[in-house]
Amino acid sequence: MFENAKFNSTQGSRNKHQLRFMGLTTCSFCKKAKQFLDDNDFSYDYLYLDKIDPEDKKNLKIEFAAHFDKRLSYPTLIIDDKEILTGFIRIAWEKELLEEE
Amino acid sequence: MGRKTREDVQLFLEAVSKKQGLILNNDKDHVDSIADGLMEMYNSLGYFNCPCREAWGDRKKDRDIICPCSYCEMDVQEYGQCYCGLFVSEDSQDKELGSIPDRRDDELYP
Repeated sequence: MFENAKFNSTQGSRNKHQLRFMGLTTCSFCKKAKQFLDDNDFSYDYLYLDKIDPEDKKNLKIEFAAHFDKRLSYPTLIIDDKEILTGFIRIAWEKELLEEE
Repeated sequence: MGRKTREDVQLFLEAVSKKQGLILNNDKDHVDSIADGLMEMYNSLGYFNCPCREAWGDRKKDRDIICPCSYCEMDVQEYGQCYCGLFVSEDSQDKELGSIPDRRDDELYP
């Protein structure tokens, strides 16, 4: 999935799952969500959609919509290419990402 | 099209909240980060597009998401905050806010 997208990577001690964060640089809940991943020391890939080539963005959104049957909104976290967290709601992110440990 | 500074954005937010009876979030870091986003939107598009949503870059197509967006009042009533968490209800002033569903129709997005 997203083979052509150029994600950046952050390394952390929590690395059991492949996490892919997608956001906008201008969006405040995106900042909070990314901060959550940093504060909890997750390894993750991230991409800011407002900073990539428009054609790449278009293709990525089409691929996302085809895979998850919904429009990409921000922030979105993709877990192991299977599940997604849409929007940043701290308790939902804690439940999904921290509780199983 | 002139450029906006952070001070201009702050003045805009204060004027808008006063004029429309909207309450700005108490969380200064959150508001500052949205104000940065608004400034960037203005300086690239020429209008205060919602920084939490993707823009077409065409004022007509984006008109319902120019801050304060057309959904702001309804969202503050229903969720106690706008989509970005910039404007809040009195009851939500001191809560930690999170994302809310987007009231805007998917088809209106690029």
